Amino acid sequence: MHPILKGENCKKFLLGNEAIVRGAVESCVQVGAAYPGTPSSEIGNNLFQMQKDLAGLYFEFAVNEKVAMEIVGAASACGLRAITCMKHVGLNVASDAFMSLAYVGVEGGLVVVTADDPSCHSSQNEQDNRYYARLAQVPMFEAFDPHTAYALTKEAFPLSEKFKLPVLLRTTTRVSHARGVVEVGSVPFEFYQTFKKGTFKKDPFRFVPVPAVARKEHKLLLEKLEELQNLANSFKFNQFIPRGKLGICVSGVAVNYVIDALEDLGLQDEVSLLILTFTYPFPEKLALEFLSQVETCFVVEELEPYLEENLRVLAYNYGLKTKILGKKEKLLPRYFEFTPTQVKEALVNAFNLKGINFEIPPLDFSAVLPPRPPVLCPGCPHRETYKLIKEVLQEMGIEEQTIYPTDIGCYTLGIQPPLNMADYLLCMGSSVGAPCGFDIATDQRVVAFIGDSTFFHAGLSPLVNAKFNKHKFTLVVLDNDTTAMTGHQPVPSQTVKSPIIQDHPTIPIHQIAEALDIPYVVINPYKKEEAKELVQPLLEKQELSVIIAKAPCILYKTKSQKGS
Amino acid sequence: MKKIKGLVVGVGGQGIILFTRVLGEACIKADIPVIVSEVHGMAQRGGVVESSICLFGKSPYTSEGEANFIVAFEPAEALRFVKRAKKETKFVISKDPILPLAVKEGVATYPDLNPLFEEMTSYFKHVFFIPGEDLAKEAGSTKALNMVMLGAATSLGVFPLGRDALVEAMLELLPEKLHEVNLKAFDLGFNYVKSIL
Repeated sequence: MHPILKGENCKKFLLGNEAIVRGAVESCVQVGAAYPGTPSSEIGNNLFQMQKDLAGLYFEFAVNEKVAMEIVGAASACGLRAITCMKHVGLNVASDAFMSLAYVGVEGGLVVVTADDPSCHSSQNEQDNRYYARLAQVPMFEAFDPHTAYALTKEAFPLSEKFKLPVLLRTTTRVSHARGVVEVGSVPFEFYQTFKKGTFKKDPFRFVPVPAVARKEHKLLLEKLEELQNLANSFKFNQFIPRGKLGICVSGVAVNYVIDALEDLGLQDEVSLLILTFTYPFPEKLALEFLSQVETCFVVEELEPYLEENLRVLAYNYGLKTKILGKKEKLLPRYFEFTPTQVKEALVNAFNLKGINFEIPPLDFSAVLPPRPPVLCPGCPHRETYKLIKEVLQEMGIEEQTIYPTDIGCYTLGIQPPLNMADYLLCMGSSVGAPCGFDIATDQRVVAFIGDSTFFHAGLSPLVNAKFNKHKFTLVVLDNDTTAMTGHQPVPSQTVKSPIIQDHPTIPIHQIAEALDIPYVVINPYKKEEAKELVQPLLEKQELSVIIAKAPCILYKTKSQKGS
Repeated sequence: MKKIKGLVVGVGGQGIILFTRVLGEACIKADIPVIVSEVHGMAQRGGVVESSICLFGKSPYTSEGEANFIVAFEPAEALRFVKRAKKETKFVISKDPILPLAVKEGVATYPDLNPLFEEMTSYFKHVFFIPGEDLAKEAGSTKALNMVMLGAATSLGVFPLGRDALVEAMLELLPEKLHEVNLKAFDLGFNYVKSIL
């Protein structure tokens, strides 16, 4: 049996992401769909594997987050509980569907997990997705450790059902990838014995937001928000702990840092706390009660001043004189994840505490230690592809001026010397869209790199655009049979499949080039001379072409040979 | 109980996650509050890996001046994280360097660590070096370095748990075919530290 399913009414040592999975299956979730992305990936990975044990659970890796959102939206419209999860930038991709879901609403409880990444541990930005809740006008929970991730997931499903709205559950890397004690309940194995189908009850004047419908639905949505706000005020995991005249309002992983810091400073009985987990709609009444009882309110939250702005507006609206301190005073930055020491220092500064010293060793060896940037694995086929294409372009004498648009995956590491073959990147699929622009704006040669999974995610439609609008560049698809970066999730072109999807078809990438009538070659990057001969004619011609470098990820190959 | 904060550092692929898993499971059995952080994603590809441990507290992050103990699977990585320590911090360091690819390719250098450790040990009083690779090999696999280090740290008394509690958690977590090697690795690390204390 899957380890997350084991045990009932006991303490388990779970990752934040695993805790969400456990919370979801305890809540009878039936349908899941997701595109992997760190730090959210373990949610999908575990749901995918769990299908072997739970006949009543369906999960699929969708080609991108938008498709995943549409899948769970429809499943929920049929009355089934559903979940999707994504990294923060994944919600950008899914946002079109997400925004409309707030209008047409859901039937079965629908939880949308966004795993944000302050400090950009594995992302191209550190956007604060709490603003998505406000933008879409859907309720939001913020977890601060694995146990709250679990508990909030269980709260989210019934709330979603009650208000017929998706619930945004927000974590950050430090919550998703923290492993802590979770007091679990029991998994309803009875319920999962068979997959129970729902019914879609037609209601086009609800589910089809043509302008007349949308206008009506927006009003309805705003009415729901008022009622949701009342719930947020009395939500059991929104805690106002009245103590002294100094107060702290906090959400997310910083909750832990604040509690530990107060203990370290001996202030645990003196400082009032407003710990928030239901943060959209903002619990105004509760916050007002807190603000009226303290003289100073220090706001501790990573990234954007979301709570802070809400509190300032509230204080203004109600004419409160409470001193509000936070990002505006630069007590804490708007970038990177916090550290406990940083929060403790900020607290000392905010409250003007005297005589507190921080002992930090006066040693620093960082200047002489070798850097360890992440690198392509030994034997990785991507390195071979990069090298041979670089050589051909060098032999043609155009390597230095060639522009290398790149994309999101292990192969972005082509940015490192000695390859230096990553010049431009925006987001998933931009390696195919951006070259269309380069083609218009410059005479430099463009050779773009994209992985197989990223190609299916967001590379298909820009390739059609390139063909239709007559753009000239070469696209190298690094087809390594898997979604490697995030832990070897399936990809439509893969030939070696997980037993769970053994009967799914293979969609070879060269057939797509063929269908679009784009010249292509398929190379084996390990056969360097043969491959160089194949790619040279394409690189020499000034036309749209596709090179498919086909060789399995070295780790995936080892893993699948071991049969795990 | 007073908070105990620690840090396990090394290089991606050294098996640090298992170290913290075993410790965490042992803590749960003993009803000790525990939270750790793990590194996933790009950093696993040969990058610097750190895992924070917090017992009797809430924060899954051990930051500057906070660590009660630091377990380093690689010597240069121990030096990289000295700012996380305080004067009385206990260090357990596997003495075998792992050269970054950039060093192997000749575009970066791996420094002579001796003078750096001299400077370090003149500030910190509790620094213990372990022949990690030799002990792991003796146990039967270089992959067992993580259990050598766990045994060594346990022996040093940095956890509020003894050998038996950790061994029990380890055996429960690992498939049976790996029991012998890992148990041996744990005890080799445990006994090595005992012999030098």
